Amino acid sequence: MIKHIVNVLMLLTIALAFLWVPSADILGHSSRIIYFHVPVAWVSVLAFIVSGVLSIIYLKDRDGKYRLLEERAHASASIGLAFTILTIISGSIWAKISWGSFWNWDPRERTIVVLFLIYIAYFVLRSALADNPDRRKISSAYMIFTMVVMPLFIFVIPRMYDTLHPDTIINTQRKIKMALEMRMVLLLGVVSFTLLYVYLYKISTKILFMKKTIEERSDE
Amino acid sequence: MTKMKLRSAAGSCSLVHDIFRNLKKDCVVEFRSRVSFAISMAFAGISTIAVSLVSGGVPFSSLVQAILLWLILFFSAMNGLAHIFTREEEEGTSLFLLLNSNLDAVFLGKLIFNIVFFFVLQVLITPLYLFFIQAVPARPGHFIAAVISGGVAISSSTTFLGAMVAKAGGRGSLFTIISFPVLLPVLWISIAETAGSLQSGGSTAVGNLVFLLAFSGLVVAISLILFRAVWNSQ
Amino acid sequence: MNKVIASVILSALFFFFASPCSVNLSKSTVYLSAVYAQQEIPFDNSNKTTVQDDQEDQSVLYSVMAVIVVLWLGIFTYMVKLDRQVKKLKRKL
Repeated sequence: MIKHIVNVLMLLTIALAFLWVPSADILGHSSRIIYFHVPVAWVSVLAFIVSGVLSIIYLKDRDGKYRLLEERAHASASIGLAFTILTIISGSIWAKISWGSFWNWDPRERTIVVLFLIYIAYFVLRSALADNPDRRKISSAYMIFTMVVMPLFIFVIPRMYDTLHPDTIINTQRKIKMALEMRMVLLLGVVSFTLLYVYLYKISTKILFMKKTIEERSDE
Repeated sequence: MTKMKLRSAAGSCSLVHDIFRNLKKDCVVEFRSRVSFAISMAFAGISTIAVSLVSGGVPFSSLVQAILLWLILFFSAMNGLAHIFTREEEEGTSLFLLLNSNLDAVFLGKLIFNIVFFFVLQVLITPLYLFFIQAVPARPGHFIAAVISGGVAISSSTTFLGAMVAKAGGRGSLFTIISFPVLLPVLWISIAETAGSLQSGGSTAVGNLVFLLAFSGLVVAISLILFRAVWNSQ
Repeated sequence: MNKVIASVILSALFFFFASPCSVNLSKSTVYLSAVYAQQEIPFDNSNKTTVQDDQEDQSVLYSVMAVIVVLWLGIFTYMVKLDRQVKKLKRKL
């Protein structure tokens, strides 16, 4: 069901982004990247938050009521890492088109690199703890720790310094400086990519449960 | 009601007592061997002298001076700040600590130790660095505040991360890998503030310093909650 | 295989919609929408763009297509990886 909704919404996003929305002032047609770059960046943050929330539930769930929570957090982090890499790549190409160079160490670029490094550190920590009985607890604790500090990096620090990125939706003037059509298609893009993330997460969870079933059968 | 008040007062008294007891124990043990302190100081001293020697007295811009200072402080810290927990695992005293003390007291004692340790490192390294690089801060008060706030942010983050690395087997490179993403924004802001205080005409705003202290507070709060999960092994 | 086919169809449709003719299509769509909504026409059609402007527009559009194709390729690769894992596990089960 989700697969079909994602297909329809993605087609709609592509169609509207190229056929309906006017191009922005100054940026011109390159502004159409925003309807894909921003949702991908949003999913990289969303996956991180979901991973953190699952880690919290894992640490609180002493009775083992929910199965494979830490593994599901890991699956969400994998998707988040993939989307972070895509954000960096799409952002770099757009930066070359708009600002003339692939990488400028703009505050937003720095914070997405920090998010990327946090993901990498999480995977390195988890693989270093491969034979450790406390692996799940320690990696969950790290994910929660970084999830709590991450909003400062993603949402606060980029607003403290001058940036090449355009003004965000949450800004000091409390005004959304975006035409209505652009806002609508951006929102549609965000919803489409969020549903795509949900779909990918569901497949990853299915894989986890299949692996668990195979392990249990081989133990028997 | 009075009995409850007395019990909670006694509870908080015992927590403070446990914190100071653990802090005293850590100070005595670290002072006895002085390994981590010696390594950190040696690294800082060697790096400072190497930079000064290689540059041959050529003046750097305030930004480069700030970057080099924080690189030296950061990597000196990486050598020393995780040791407070890895020592417990290496010597096999972590179970004793778990049974003997309140977990909050253990964490807060180690946190205070790390903050003081890094503060002592900064007090010794920073003047040495300024002397060799021949840098004079244009606004000394702001410079000192920037160095101290950055130091508090770094030491408060690395305390909890050090506990995780200790439980993970205590490999040094793992500590650097997991702490670097968390400390990178702290370094970025600390460097910017230090550079601003080294040059004349820089901004006098204290917003970034407040951010560093707020970051430290947030990190300590979340570390205190998560420490139970990490240190209480199965 | 369903996921892979879906991704291929998405990408193919994307190429269809993002062809250079969409530059004029988008202008006329907005014009028609404005007329339907009885609002002021946002584009001044009396100012004719030069050939050079059109070529620049097209090259920017190709760059935009390149970015979005890279995104789709990344998502497609990830979905193929997941699909292979699912097939391998289904065989074991």
